[in-house]
Amino acid sequence: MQFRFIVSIVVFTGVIAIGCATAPQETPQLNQARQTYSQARNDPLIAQYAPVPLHEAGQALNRAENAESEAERRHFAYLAERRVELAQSLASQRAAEDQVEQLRSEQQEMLLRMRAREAEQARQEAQQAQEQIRAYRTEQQQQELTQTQRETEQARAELQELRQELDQLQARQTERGILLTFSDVLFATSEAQVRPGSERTMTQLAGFLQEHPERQVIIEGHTDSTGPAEYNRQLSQQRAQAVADALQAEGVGADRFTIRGLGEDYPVAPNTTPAGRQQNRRVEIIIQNPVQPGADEGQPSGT
Amino acid sequence: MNLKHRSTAHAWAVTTMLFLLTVIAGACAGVNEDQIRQDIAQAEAAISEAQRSEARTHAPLELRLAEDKLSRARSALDNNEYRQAQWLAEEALADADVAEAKAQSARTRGTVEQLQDTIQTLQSEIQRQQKQ
Repeated sequence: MQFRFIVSIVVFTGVIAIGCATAPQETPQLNQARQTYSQARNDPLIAQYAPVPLHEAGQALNRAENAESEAERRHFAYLAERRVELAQSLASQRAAEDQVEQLRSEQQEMLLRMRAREAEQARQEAQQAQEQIRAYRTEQQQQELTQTQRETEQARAELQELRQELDQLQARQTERGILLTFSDVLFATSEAQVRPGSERTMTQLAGFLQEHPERQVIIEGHTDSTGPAEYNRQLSQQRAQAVADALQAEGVGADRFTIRGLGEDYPVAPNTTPAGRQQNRRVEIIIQNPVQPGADEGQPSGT
Repeated sequence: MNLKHRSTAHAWAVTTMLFLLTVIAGACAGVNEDQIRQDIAQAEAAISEAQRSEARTHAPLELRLAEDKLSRARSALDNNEYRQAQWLAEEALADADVAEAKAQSARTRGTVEQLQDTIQTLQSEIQRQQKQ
């Protein structure tokens, strides 16, 4: 009686034990799931980005290990594998999202650099253009300056030439033009003829006048105060004419001359001494400056 | 990091909860018909989500598996094959989750490639500018 009771209990327990659990058998799906899960646990990406599905896979694997039937085992092994696959996908997804963030900011930075560079280039081009304009203007000014300088140089050179030539003629610059004074030694006393000794001077003067056809000539004769005024005036006129004739003989056109006899009216020295009187006895040749509009002839010297 | 859709995050949370409940609950517990219907509804929702994410293009196999198992789960339930129905629903859900994740992952990788292309172009442009 007791023995049968004990046996029943043992059998009963056994039945329950067998009923609720079977020893886990090796199924290929479970092996597979174990391997996949184990690999996933070593994956740092999954650990970082998808720990939750990995945990779920572990739970499913546990259920598979403790499964009561082959079918149950296979079911939970399948779930475990799918969860690992999900973990892998999520990890890949989230890593890619991070990459997108990074690439977006890289793109942004590059765009900024490009814009900055384009702006810089534009600024440089603008600056270059301005400098070119400045350089061009400067060059223009420079050319104008050079032109003016050249013209001034030319005028100066001409003047220099003029002076040199007239130096030989002992000329001096006055406001009326270039003044040559022929003293009376060139004339015989009371005569109106130009002495032979003065030929060289006349030739030089004529040569100069021919070189400068734009200049008109005034020839003014003067005397000292010896003798009557009217006589002196006539004499001075004749002497002036003599000079003009001499120049004409050398080829200078008569239309260039203005001849005047000014008599004793314009002394350059006191008539009280012989030296002074000698100085007053003269013919003045004025080579006028080239005609400027509105200019007048100026006053004779000696006033 | 932020998930693309709030609904996806929500879906993950619910999925996790139900999954753990299922697993922890244990084989000796009795199967609950209401729970099975919930599982089926959950799987259905996950499949819709995956379809919207263009899983047909990026994970056609997984999506097909999920759809298949869902319809078999319904049939099993109609035939009062509760265990079968539950397991099929659970597996359909798991398959749908994978399909969805693969689809999203593929799209993000596409974005990565696009951006890499754009950056490449920009780099060439910058180099070209520098040579001038």
